[in-house]
Amino acid sequence: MLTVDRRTFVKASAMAAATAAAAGTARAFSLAILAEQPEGASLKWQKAPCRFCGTGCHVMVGTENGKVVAIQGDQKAEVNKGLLCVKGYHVGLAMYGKDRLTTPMLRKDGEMVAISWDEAIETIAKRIKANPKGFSFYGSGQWTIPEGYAANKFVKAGLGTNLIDANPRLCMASAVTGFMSTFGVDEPPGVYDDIDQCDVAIMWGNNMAEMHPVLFSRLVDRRARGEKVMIIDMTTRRTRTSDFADEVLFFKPHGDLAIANGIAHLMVKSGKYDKEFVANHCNFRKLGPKPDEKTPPDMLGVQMTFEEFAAAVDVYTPERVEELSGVPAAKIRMLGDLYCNRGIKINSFWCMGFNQHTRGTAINCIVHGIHLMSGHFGKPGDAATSLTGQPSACGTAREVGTLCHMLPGGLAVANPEHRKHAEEHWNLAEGRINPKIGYHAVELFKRFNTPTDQGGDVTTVWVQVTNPGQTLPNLGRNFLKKKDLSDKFLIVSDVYPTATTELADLILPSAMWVEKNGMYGNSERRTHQWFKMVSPPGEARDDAWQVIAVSHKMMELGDNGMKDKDGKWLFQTVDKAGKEVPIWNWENYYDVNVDERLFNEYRLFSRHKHHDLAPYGEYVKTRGMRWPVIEQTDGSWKETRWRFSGFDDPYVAKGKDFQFYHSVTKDDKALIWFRPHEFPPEMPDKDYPFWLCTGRVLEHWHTGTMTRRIPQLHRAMPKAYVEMNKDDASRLGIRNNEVVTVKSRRGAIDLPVWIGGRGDPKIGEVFVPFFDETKLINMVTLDEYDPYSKQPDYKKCAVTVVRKS
Amino acid sequence: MAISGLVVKLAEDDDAGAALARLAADSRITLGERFGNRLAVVAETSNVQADRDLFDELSAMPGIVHVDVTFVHLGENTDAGMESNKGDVEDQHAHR
Repeated sequence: MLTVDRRTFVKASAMAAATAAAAGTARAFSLAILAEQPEGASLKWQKAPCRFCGTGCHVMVGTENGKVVAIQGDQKAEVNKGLLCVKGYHVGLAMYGKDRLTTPMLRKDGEMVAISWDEAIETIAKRIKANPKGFSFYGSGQWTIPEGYAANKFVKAGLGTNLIDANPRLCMASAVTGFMSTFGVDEPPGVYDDIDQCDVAIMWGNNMAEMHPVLFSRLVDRRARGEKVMIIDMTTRRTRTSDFADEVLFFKPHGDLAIANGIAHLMVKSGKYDKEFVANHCNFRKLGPKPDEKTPPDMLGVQMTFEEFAAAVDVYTPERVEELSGVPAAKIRMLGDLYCNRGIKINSFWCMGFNQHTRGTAINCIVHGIHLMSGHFGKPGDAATSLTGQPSACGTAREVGTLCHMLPGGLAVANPEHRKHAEEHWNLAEGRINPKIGYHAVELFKRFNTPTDQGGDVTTVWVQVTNPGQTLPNLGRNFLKKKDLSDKFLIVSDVYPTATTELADLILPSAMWVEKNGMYGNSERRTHQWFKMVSPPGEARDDAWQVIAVSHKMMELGDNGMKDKDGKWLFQTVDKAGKEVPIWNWENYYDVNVDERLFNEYRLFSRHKHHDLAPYGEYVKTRGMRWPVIEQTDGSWKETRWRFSGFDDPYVAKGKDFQFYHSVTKDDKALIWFRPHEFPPEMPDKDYPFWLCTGRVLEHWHTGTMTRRIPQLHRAMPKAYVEMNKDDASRLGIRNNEVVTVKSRRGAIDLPVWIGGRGDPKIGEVFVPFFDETKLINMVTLDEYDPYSKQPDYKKCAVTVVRKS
Repeated sequence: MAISGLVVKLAEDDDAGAALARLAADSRITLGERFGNRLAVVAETSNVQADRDLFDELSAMPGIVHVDVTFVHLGENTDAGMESNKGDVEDQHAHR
């Protein structure tokens, strides 16, 4: 073998990776060069999805001497084709912050004291066993699929409650209710391939250039190759996406509802909607009785005729929409013309702008309706695409069903037949699955932060892989009150100290990313798998093991809920010879592949709602597969790209172009909803004259617990700030960098002002990022939520900005 | 030492030629093959911070539309990173 020095080897490897990605093909020479390692080197490359956003890029992780030392975009991955964004660049460093949590710690006499794992597990088991109905799990879209499945089974089968929810409630619950209302089943019909084939990309409040840069790069790349791709950025503030857009349409907060209805109005008025598609595949729907204390929100609504729909959208003339949204009537007509043009392919994109919205379900539904009405649906390039911010918000929270109203595989707690399926798969006695829906995230933490004798019936919460102490809205009400409630007990599993561990009574150190086996599911229904590559630091251990160990300890303490109807432990695991492996002991946890055992049990659920997953081993061989994944006659497994489309989806009956086989109306039709424009619950007034929008920044991922520990990212964006319009700042006599108080009816924080900032906010609007745990903007935000999805609105509330001097 | 592989997407205008000339003259950069507007390059700098700064510099350069990362060698920088963010971590902890 050719021997080269280390520097030459690394440079050659870097050039090989760049060349292959630039060429758009995985060239054989790349791996050949990587194989020619310098003498004595032991660099080992293995695949894994990136730890950060929901795009689902694959990386090749280079490890040496027990550490991650190199990262390469995976050229075999369809999602990113060898490319990575600037966050992916740093993913290998995220594990190496100086202050990793390495030992369990229990609060004793007000101080956090190191304890053994045995004591930690027993403390949790005794606490939950004493009052299972007072216990709630709070997880994450960063849970791996097996981790979320273990927690879900622990609560719903083991404890017989549905007291589990996860942070996707705060980030994409409205996308779920939008899909459910429209198609009767969750998750996008289309895939990323649509990005490569659309003629027009319409960003609905979505800063794809910074939040999903690798996907945006696919659009930019097409343009750079000479293809004509029109980008329209509809936004309340300028972003990097705006810089690439052919049209930037600034709208007033909440104006998106008016714009979408305006487009529907123009389709009806012009008669240019796709009459054949609508007649064959769609029903019209409107809301039923308005929900109140006696009438729960009803997502089924009531039937309406096309004529009634036409009358309902009649008021949304371009001129009226201009009044409501601020977007000129001429531009509304331009949008109407585009959507009515069936000679082009349109891909609409959205993310938090739609979902963190007190009418999030409504705006999701309306835009699905626009695509259905216009026939821009179900063909490559014609799609309505909801993007996600976490690596497994889809794979774990939505598909595994780690939400208080869900069961695995898209099944619902409220459905008796679905509960029966779960009881069969988990071998439980009939009636074991509780029909009562648990508490959604905001309600869960409200109850945890309410004295027990005043209705605060959640007394113990176990948080894994998320940071509600920074992300819940109205933190003063929904998180910090716990500090004064001595009978409440907060357990937090995490990798670093956070705003949440600050109030924890028990902290469990967790393994992260490639320190454990894992599986994620991305925004396009793609399920990924990876193997453990390095050991976690100190005594940090897998989150799934923590749940399994507590379950076993509860059984040892006499809790029969942790057994199935035949008396077997819910997580019983056997080796190939059929002998039980004591996976509750950490020393034995990796004697078998627990992920494989949990996933292969979970996949049984996936058949009911046509989420079909392949066996675990198939994912080992690939860079992910998009469900439904169907076994072929030759024993291979085939993924599905376009759901409900006859040319690709095997569940569509032969001879049909489209079939919405989970139709809400049971007639294979999708629903086009009328949802009116409504004003938000809190708007600026004389006391609180500014709109506040919160969000992310390029340098940091969500609450910054990982990225703030990467020096290069921290230095690039060290502190949060408030962006203000220069005329507002001038009127108030505020100078750049001056520290001001941003105050709402709920709380206040001090922040330095960045006049103009990156977003160049409009007059009367301010923006604050939420990554900085030293400046918690969620002390200020509003905890009103969408009545259907229960997702709060972080994009709009009323604040004032006050000079400190 | 930090070494990264990048794909630089060049604009379709006169600035692209100037950008290409600047890249060729930069001792930190080794130019690779060009495929249409996509150019493979390798960046070699003293540490990860310098590499990040170079990435930002390229991203902002006239004639360059976009920069993607394809490879990054962290090497000893995992240890360096742990030390160099000491102050930042203490800053976060001090806040509590």
